[in-house]
Amino acid sequence: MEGSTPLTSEPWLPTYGWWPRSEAYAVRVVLSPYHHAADPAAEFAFTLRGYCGSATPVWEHEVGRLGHGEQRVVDLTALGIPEPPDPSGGVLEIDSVRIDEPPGRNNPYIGMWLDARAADGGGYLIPTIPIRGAGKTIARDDLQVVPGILASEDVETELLLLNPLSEVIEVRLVASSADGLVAESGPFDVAPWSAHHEDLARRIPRLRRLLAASDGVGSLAIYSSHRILPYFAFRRAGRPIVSMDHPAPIFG
Amino acid sequence: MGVLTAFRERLRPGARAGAPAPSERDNALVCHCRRVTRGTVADATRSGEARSLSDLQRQTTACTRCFGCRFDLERMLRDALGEAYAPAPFLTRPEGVDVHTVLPRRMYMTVFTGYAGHEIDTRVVIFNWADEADRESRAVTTRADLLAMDGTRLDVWETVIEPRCSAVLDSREIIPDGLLDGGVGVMKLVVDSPRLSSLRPYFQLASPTAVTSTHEKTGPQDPGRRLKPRRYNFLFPIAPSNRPEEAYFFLTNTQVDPMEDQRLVWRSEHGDEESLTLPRLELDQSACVALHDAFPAIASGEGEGTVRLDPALHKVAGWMLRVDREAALWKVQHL
Repeated sequence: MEGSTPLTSEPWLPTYGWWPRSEAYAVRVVLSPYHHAADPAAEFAFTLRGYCGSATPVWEHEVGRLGHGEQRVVDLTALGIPEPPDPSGGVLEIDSVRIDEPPGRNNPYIGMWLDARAADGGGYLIPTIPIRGAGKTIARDDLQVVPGILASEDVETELLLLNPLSEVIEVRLVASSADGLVAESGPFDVAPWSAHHEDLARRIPRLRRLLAASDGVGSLAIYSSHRILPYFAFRRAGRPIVSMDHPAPIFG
Repeated sequence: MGVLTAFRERLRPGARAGAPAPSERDNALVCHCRRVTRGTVADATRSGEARSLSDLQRQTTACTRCFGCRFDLERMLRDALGEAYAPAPFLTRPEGVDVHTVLPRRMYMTVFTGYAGHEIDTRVVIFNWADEADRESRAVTTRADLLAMDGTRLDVWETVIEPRCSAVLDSREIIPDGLLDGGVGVMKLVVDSPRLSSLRPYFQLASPTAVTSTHEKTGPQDPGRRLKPRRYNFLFPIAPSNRPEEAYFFLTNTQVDPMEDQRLVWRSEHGDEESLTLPRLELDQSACVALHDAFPAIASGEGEGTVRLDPALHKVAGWMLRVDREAALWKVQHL
């Protein structure tokens, strides 16, 4: 079973999110045709897949067809799927297809929602996104930015990078203090079909010192050899993260 | 906060520093885009030539870019004309110009500072990144308007963001206690740049135990754009919770056409529906709806389904917030 099979047979592109270990988060996939269509005749089909280090999915779950008024919340912990072999987790693919019509020229993908909850009250709610096909005018595929990273004794920034491609992606991070001083990571690789998850301060030396003059606030530029799907989150004083967000592209 | 980075220049000191002297009041800007003073507007209304907002737009050029002074101008017209003032439609684009090169981007974010008894504050960050591949890097002027939920402008700041720098606006430093009624409002950023590049603002909500982040939502470049049915719904997905949570749906109307008869519809996974009608919202006016009060299934934490904005018509700036009050955890996400 090869990954992203629907790319060859369906014009709709899949979207992606994080597949973490269940000890970290219980993930529910909220599938709602309302999110994508206002047309009562719309009909959709959904399949979920989990990848970890290979284009061959570790698991696959066919949700089936949903009409416009139907919704389904799929609890990954209830599917009996294996844990991702990598402690950083893996890549969750949401293969959403609108059956009654082909995609338009813009946005040929159907994003859905992930609602992840940790036992300590933390978690995040975030839409799934495509690796390509976004309708917005993007100037660069090698650069994305995070306006507002935090690094101090009180708050850490977590970085998550998802690579839903069959090639290694090389990444380099440049942190910028509010007044423009920078510190860089060395280049590092994110393996095909895998997740890379760590604290930003572990990857960028002296990050806290860089941001100290601006109350621990700065921004981040993420360079990658191919478009990648980054996310970030904040953890305060050992407490849980409460949101996860994607960086901004460089708009044209 | 670093001197280079904060929104240092407050453009409207009269807003909270007591009543200014008459001459100071007349010289104060009312339209920051076109640099039109209150005195110029007052002269136009006193002469009797301006009897409507569109008259003021034509005669003074005020309120022809970001439309943020609309409520100020209407108040001045009402004060000058009394009962003779009749609100009327206003112009949303100067005649004969291309809106995409003349009108600035209007970017909206929620601002919470002490909302509903919560210990919560807001930080906005804009990043003007530039590297060797970016030949057009330049300093960018950005203005931030603090709006009340009814659209009234409460304060204005302006900053210039140099290349590679970030501008940081922290509600704890700039918004005094009590300025925002109920501790909630809207920050509207007016960004003057032909290319957005890296200038998408993100905002963080910070409580004593957590920091949550998401990005702004931009209104259409021409707020007078004709309404047409959207092909998708603005949606708040709800999954079951094992902890008590509050849920809020926050939205701002970014278009001139008023939002009327709009509903929030809760639809469970089993197809049951409940709804509530939103108040009428004009351009730049906002609502923050406590979903846990409106829909019992959400309050219990057992509900699975979605809350959608219906009908799918307006382009709103919207966010969903979930609050674990016991643990002071706020979770924010754009629609």
